[in-house]
Amino acid sequence: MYKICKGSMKLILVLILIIALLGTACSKTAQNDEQIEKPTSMVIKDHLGREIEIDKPVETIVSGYYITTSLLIALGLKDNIVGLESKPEMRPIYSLAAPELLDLPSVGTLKEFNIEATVALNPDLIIVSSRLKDSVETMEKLGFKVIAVNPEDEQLLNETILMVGKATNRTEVAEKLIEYNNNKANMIKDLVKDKERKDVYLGGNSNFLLTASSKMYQNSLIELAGGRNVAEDIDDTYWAEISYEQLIIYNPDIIVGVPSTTYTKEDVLTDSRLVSLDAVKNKDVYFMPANLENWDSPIPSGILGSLWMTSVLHEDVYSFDEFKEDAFEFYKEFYNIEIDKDELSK
Amino acid sequence: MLRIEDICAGYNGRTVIEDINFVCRPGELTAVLGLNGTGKTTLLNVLCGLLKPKKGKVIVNGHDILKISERERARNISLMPQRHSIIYDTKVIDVVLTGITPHLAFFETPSKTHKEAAEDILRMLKMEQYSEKNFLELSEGQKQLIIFGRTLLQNSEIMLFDEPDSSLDYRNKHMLIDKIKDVLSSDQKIGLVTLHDPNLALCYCDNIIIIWEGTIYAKFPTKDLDVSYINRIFSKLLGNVSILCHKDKYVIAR
Amino acid sequence: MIKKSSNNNTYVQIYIGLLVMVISLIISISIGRYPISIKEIAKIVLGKEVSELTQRVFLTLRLPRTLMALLAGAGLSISGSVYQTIFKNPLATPDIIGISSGANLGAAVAIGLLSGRPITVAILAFIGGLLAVFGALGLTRITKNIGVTTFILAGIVIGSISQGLIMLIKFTADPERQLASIEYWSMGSLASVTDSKLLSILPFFLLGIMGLYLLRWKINILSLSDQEGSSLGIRVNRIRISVIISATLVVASVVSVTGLISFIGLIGPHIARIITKKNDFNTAILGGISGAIIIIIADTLARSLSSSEIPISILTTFIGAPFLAYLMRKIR
Repeated sequence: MYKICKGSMKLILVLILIIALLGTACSKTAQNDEQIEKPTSMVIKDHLGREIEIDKPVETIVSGYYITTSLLIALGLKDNIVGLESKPEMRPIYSLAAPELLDLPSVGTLKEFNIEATVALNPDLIIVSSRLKDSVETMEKLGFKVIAVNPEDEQLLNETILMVGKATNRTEVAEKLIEYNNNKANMIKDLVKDKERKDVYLGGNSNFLLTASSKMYQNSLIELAGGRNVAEDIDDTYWAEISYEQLIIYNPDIIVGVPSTTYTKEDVLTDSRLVSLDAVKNKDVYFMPANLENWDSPIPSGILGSLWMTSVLHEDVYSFDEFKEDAFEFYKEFYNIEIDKDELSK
Repeated sequence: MLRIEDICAGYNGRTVIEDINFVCRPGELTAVLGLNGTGKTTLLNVLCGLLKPKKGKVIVNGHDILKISERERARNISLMPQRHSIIYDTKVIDVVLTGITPHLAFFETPSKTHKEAAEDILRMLKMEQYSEKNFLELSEGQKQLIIFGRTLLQNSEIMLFDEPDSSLDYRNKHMLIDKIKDVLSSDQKIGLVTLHDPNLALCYCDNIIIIWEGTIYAKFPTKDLDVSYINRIFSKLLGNVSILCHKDKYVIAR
Repeated sequence: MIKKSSNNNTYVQIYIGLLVMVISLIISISIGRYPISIKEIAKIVLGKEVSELTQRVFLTLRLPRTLMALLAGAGLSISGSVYQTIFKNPLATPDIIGISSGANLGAAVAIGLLSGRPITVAILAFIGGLLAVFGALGLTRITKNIGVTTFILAGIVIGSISQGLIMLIKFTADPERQLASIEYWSMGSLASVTDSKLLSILPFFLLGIMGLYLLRWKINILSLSDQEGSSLGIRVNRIRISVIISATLVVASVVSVTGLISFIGLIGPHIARIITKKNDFNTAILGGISGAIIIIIADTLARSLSSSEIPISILTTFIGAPFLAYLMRKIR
């Protein structure tokens, strides 16, 4: 009986293998559907390493990622957007620069992307995060042009800007945006070149004790602005949770809160556990404004985060009023809106 | 014929029963008596293949049943448990039908013929009107009768009963053992039953085996009893008792 | 006449169930963000001309997704029913032997430590589920008395280890992207189902179902005590392991594509038992049909209630928890 069982186990294993092979064969033939050859006019390489042929002018675009949606506005393409990511009302810049976006169909979030909704809009171009690799492949199979972007740091952000600019025939504006960003970055470098680096503690948005490790974009933002992230030695995770004791050991010169925190400046200044910190004693606690965009992330207007940080860290070389001027100019130039300078806070 | 030779068995290195030797003949019902924890159930577990003995043989018609497959063994030996273990709603007829299992091939399920056989058994037990009822809603006596029906469908030469009377009232107890006796003598099956009640054993069984601390303390036929012999034996087992005679049967009283 | 009515009744119940299932399937298949009318579906089925995009959306997205809902509901319910039978516990679920935790761990490893590509997640979830079960089965060998409790304890050990490792991965994961994905996976979704995914799990699913079907009579016997099973000629332990492996194949293949779907393995079988008042394989099949109907409806709601997808476990939990309360009242 035991031998028979062993034999039948082998048989079952072989069966499983055969069926599995058949299964993969089936799915392969399903993928090899017709691929229509068309004359090339432009090839774009995206962040998944795919090459996308754009063979006719892009009129309608679905953007499933807030970063590229904002970028499309900056490139002057807001009227070409026919669908975008969920919860656009959470992005104040949309209602300021392109209120019509709020009424467009939603195509889901990064976690639950809705392919059917996207496809139903029949767009000429779909731009999504490279995290949606699977959906990208499916939509491509359905015959759509899809660009997957991964604007994780400055370099990748610039690539994203160029990629989207090229695909939508807006290369000039895209280059202008990058040039602006580079100029400002160089300006900051010059300004803080000889300044002493200040120790900065960055509080996360859900929890004050959550801070950006050296793996995060925020770390490079602080460094560019002439600061030193006190948590830079943490490199094994992204947002790291630290203890009050650790924070007291760090004893930062300046405490900065990211945009849209769940706690306020008052909370930090009045927290009895933090009174021994120099930053609290000197009231050097600042919060990045959230009324336009979250400048602490790699977004087209991300340079404003570095500028803001510079004005906070080194007011003597770059005043807050200068920053307000620069922010005003940026949004006027690229988003064609006049922001209220008085709403910018620190 | 069932021959048990030199069985020794136990759990986790502890020996519960030892030196068990006896023989059962077709048409006869043999009772195994003993106090709680003396190894009656262990013996049944060995016989129905659930427990591998440390040594010894169980010979059925010349074959050692410890060396044959489960299925073949189950066709030779059936067991009616002390209490059934059915926990899900099940139709009475389906409970009886499970008795056919050892007669099915590996992937086979019961056929129409099997179902008809099960219905015949219900008729024989006068339970046919319950065929479609939910087994779990029957009385304890009816349940035991249905489990007995399952044993009948299994139709093995040797039938083991593990305290089949334990959850039954007086009337059902006698009714069930009567049925068991009937089947054994009409079909010439070998019956082995564990019991607590010596009176039931004296009244119904052809042979009695008494187990005491894991070994056979006494075995004797219930016919032509030597009163003083059994008085001595039962007194050792149960304390001071007296044996009474009633309608050519013996009764133990205290 | 009366005697045969019970089986006939079950068949009638199964046919009615199938009818309801087909109706919900048709309704579900015509609802979605991409507009496809029933007329167009009929045309596609009959091989007539429709727009190419419509046809592709239907064949690569809508149809596979709806069929996956059917498979998920049926597979999880049938396996649930089998687990409840062989573990003699009406509240047993696939997690009793560690599959869900194992699959969850596999997915967490794929998301937190590897690329996190959906195909990697699916493969690792599948392997994780199988490994957890084999681990639990291996663990049962260290005791001498192999009974139901041993299996359940082994399942708890494996489940706890998996949960611990999942927590470790969650702890080091990027909260923004990885942590959210791990959490999301454990809530289940049919949003990413495509034809190729469906086809690649189908062989394993069918293999498992075939195993359960062939062992259907033995599964019944396993609901009895080991002593009774053994006296009825069943190699209790070996059959139990074969049944567990078959059911695991079914659950792992479903879960690897959909993520965890809660409660369905409990609701489906119990609905069927209440209807048939039995616990045989026909009842398990009816349970599978009930489960399929529930998932099809839940998934239709998941993709049409709001603009983004709702994780399916949220919906099945809202159906399942009250149902469990109802059962609680009934069991006393």
